[in-house]
Amino acid sequence: MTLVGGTGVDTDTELADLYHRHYRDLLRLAALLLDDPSACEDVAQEAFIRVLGRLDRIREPELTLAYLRQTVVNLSRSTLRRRLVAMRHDRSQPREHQSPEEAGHAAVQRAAIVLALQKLPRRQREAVVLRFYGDLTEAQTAEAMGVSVGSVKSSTSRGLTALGSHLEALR
Amino acid sequence: MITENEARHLMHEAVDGLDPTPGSLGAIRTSARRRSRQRRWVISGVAVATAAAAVAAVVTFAGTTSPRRPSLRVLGPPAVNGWTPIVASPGPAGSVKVWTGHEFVAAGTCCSTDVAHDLHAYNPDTRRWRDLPPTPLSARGSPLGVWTGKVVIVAGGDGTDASGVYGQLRDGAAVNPVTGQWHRIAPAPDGFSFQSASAVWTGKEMLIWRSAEGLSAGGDERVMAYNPGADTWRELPPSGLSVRLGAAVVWTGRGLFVWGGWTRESQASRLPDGALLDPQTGTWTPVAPAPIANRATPAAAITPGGVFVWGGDGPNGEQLADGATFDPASNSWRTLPAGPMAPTNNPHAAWTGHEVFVAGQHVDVAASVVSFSSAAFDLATSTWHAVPAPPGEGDAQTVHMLEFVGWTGTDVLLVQTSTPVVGGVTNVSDDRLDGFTWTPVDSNTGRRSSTTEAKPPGATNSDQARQSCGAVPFTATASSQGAFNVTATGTDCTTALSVAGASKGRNGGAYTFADFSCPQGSPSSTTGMAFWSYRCTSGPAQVLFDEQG
Repeated sequence: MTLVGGTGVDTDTELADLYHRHYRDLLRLAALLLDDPSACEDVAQEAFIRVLGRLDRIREPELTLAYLRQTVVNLSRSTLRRRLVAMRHDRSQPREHQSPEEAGHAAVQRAAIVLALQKLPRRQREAVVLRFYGDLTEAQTAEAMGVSVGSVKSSTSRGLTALGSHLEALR
Repeated sequence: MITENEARHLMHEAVDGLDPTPGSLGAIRTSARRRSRQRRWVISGVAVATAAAAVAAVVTFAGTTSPRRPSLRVLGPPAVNGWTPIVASPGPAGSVKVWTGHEFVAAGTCCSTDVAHDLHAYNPDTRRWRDLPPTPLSARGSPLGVWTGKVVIVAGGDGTDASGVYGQLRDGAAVNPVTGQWHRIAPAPDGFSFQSASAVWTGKEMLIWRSAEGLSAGGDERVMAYNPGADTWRELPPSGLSVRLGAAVVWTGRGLFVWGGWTRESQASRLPDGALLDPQTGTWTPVAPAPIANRATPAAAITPGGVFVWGGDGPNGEQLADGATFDPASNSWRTLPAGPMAPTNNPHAAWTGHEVFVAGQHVDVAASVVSFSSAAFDLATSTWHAVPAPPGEGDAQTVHMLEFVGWTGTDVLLVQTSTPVVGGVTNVSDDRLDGFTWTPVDSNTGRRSSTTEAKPPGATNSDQARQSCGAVPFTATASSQGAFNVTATGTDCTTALSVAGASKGRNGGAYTFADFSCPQGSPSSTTGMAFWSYRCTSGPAQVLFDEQG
């Protein structure tokens, strides 16, 4: 796959290829990182839009996924607080029927592991999710989070300990 | 502790059933194309904007009819329905939003922990934003901010500390918006988290009340007070109220009013109780049962009649359109009469010196359209009257969120977050603060409403607080003018009355008195009489008044 734009390669084709290969995984990653899983679609779409606009600047195609992942992490951070406020609006909109996607979001919201993750400090949450859901190495996790490998190690260790306690309390 | 494999298994089990919404690919494609077009437009628009700026730099003289003096006015977007637009802030919307008596100061980043929380200031007179000097604080999201009368204190937030550890930060700094000088303040005590906290200025201390740290998050109720004079912190006892979010938190002039909200476990819950803190004694008093339904996130403002509470999210998730006032002195409530406003989202209120101004939003989520409702409540007559609503935002390209309603001394200041929407996706990192200002006009006299702001009940004449100082007696002759409705911020009333009294015979002209500089007054429309509105300043101290000619 050629990921260099402006060379005659059909951008729509590139997007479709990226979408089918990575979108679902990044959507689920965002659901675990956010305090409101229903916002995961916003975050995943926004990440793709941003990366698509920069394809001509991504010199190594194999880095595209890393770039997408890092964008999802950054957007999840900036979306956390805004979601708290936006919920005020959402509550005023009665919804009688849930779409399958909304039902999926609701199921994620109710999952004990998601509730436990939401109790973790943001950095611990990101480290645990990227390391064990994303199956990233410590170095890849550090890159996605923009921190040192040492910080990933400590955040992961503390995160797992705290996650266990929170899960225990929820049971 | 759970094992890595257990964590991996549980996370996959939770989200592996989650699938993309049909049409996601199309939405991304459409948005990407639209944004590409917008980028091209922005680039080509630079040249147009440069030319427009040259035109806008031309100033006009207004109100030149004798004997009024010319007034320098800055061109900007025209008023709509009496509401003058506030141009978009130079940086994204942030968590700090304070009115300093002269400018609206807001932080430049809302929730990113990667960007410094720099401040911008909007001056309603010039209708322009300016950047304050860079903060000495590290990058962080969502710190608290208060205006002390001299400095804006910014403290807390989440980010990475000096040792590289991410978490809730306890440090802070203060900036004098006049001199632009920053200084660091003592960090909050170990273990204190500012997350989801509320802060008020008591005239002496920054008082911080925190209950739950967030939805489904931990944290117990804690109360802290920071004294900028001594640069020290002290902890106050908790109220004992159940842990909550979305409560009304208001400084009454003598105590901290906390009421309502929802539990951190359930956003659908509505709590009926509240408490009042006397920070001097550290004692909490339960608030008497309210005569209105339980609610969260109501509009709340301090007035001479007590704490005004209106609207909010009701017990069944509905938006409410009723309210009551709470008198902290008698620990009693008084139900408000029905008003002209329909139920709204996200209501805010501000005391204008005469009335309580209330505004809220109506949101059509499907169309991303926001419209406003507003009304004013006259405490003296206990009656409501309709006021022109701020212009609605009718396009589907931006989501608007009302963030702040305040009173500048002459105008209602309404600030909102405007977030671009592209292909149904809200781009929160590109949001900006904008909004409107509106000048109330007295329906009987036709002149602008006074600039007084009454003291809250029981408030002392602290020279840090804004206070109404009465009037300078005047004789209505051609050569003798007086100043009335004198309001002081950051100085005492004796000084303020002297500053205002020195305007006699100036006929709207500029003058200085003591350390105060008083630029020429702005003429106001009147019924047969001429008025000039003065804003005299000495550093952060300010004296506002009208002079009659």
